[in-house]
Amino acid sequence: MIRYARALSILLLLLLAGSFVSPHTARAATAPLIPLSIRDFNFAGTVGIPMFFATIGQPGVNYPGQAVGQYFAFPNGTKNSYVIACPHGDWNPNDPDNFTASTCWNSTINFSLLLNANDKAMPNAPAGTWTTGFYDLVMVSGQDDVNFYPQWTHAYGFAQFYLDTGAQTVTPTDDTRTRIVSFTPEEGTTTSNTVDFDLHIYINPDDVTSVLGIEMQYTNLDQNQVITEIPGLTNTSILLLTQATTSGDFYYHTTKNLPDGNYRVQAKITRTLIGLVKNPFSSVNDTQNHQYIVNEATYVGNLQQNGFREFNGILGSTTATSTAGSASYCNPLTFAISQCLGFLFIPGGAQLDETMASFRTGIATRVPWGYFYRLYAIFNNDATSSLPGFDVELTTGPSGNTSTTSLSFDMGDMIAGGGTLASSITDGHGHTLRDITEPIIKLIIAFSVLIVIYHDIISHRHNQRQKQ
Amino acid sequence: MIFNLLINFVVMAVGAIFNQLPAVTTLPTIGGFDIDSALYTGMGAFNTFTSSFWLFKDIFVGFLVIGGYYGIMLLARMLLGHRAPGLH
Repeated sequence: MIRYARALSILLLLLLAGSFVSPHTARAATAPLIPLSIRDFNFAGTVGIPMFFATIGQPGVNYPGQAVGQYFAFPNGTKNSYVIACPHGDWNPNDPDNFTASTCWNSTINFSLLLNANDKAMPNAPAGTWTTGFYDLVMVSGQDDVNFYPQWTHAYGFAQFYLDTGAQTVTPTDDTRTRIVSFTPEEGTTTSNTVDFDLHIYINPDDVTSVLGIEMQYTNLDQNQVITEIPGLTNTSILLLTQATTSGDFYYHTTKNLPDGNYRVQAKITRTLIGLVKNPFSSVNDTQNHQYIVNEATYVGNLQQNGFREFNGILGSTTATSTAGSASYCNPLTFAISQCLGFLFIPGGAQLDETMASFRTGIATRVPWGYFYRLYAIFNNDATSSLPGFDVELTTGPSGNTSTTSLSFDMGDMIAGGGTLASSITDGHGHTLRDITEPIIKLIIAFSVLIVIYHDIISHRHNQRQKQ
Repeated sequence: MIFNLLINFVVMAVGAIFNQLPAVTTLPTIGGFDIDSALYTGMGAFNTFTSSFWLFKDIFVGFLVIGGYYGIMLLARMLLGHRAPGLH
């Protein structure tokens, strides 16, 4: 019995030991595979030379014998993918046809994919399949260039881009919504009297099934708009008022000759229900404005644009440091009383600077107080001018001698030399005479000024009491 | 934000009126003497002087403050007459 028990124990021990030397363990010990992760899948390059950019792997890690991956591009709304680079591994990081690459092993692997600059076709893509529109781009990394598919790490990178017509323009985007892509004149620009109005709108196929209004208009801001924006009193001209009937890109262009002044151009897309009735809850609704100047701005026009930017800063911008970011303190959900009150009542920001600049040009510099403002500006000016020099004729020799000599005095040199001399006086610890005495002298001057003013006020009161 | 808008509105309303007045870009020339150029050049020379001898700049600023005080008092006297402070 004991023999059987021993034999059973030995058998169990052998089985247990055998599990530690399984084929799986042996493979892992000889060929460890390091996960090849995908990081930073983005776009780079400039207009005309669009590039996709990805970073794979980790710095300082070797990936011997491993493939890097594949790109797939999916035209938006379809499931037909096109392998456009690096099929089945075997990636050569220096292959100029498909990739531009920096270093490969022992560092972060960076590589980019370039569009063909001539025919807008991507490398390895079926000819003629790359049309204008949105594309999804997927990148997958692998680990073994021999047994490619079974060794996928299933690390993916996703991105979207927009392939534009005309020039080789790839716009990175994750936005396939119906939206205003661009319109001109751009914000804050100054144009000539011949103004080009351009509008580019993208319409998602899902949105074209219902009525979609597109509108573009411009407004002159120099007249009739000081107080109100009542239609009829404003100088608004409608450039375009139409409805979208097809999806995709919508372009509009026109040219107008406009007189000098301040203007605002507005682009608008609206979802309408019946006729001209707008659906106020549609996410498609969008209104954007650009303010621009034709040749020369006017005082009223500048203030109009300034005030509009003030409102737009609250309603339009969403960056954390913007006015909208500050306005979030007044949101009931993120309410903070001190910041909210500060946002409401403490003046500041670029808009206030613009208002003060308008105050100077429109009020402070006008007759009659403009003379005082000019006086203030001269006194407040830090510009320097050269000091006048002078010559002195000296008679030399005894009395009656007519021989003279001339001495020239350059006051600029004298002053500068004197200043340099005064500044060179130090206390031995690197402190100049100015460093030591200036705070004391400023204090004395400030006290003297205060005493003079105080004495004046007190003397007034003293005289007043004496009269009483 | 509210103050910004209020200030903007006041400047816009007041400026729309006073904007019609002529702008002063230089001080006048009286009897052939160009006051603007003389003051501008004089201040430039003074700035050159005080760039080396900073002490005089501080003294000058002190005089400007006192001058500003008397200017304000003078303005109050002109506007308020005998009701100006200290002139009862």
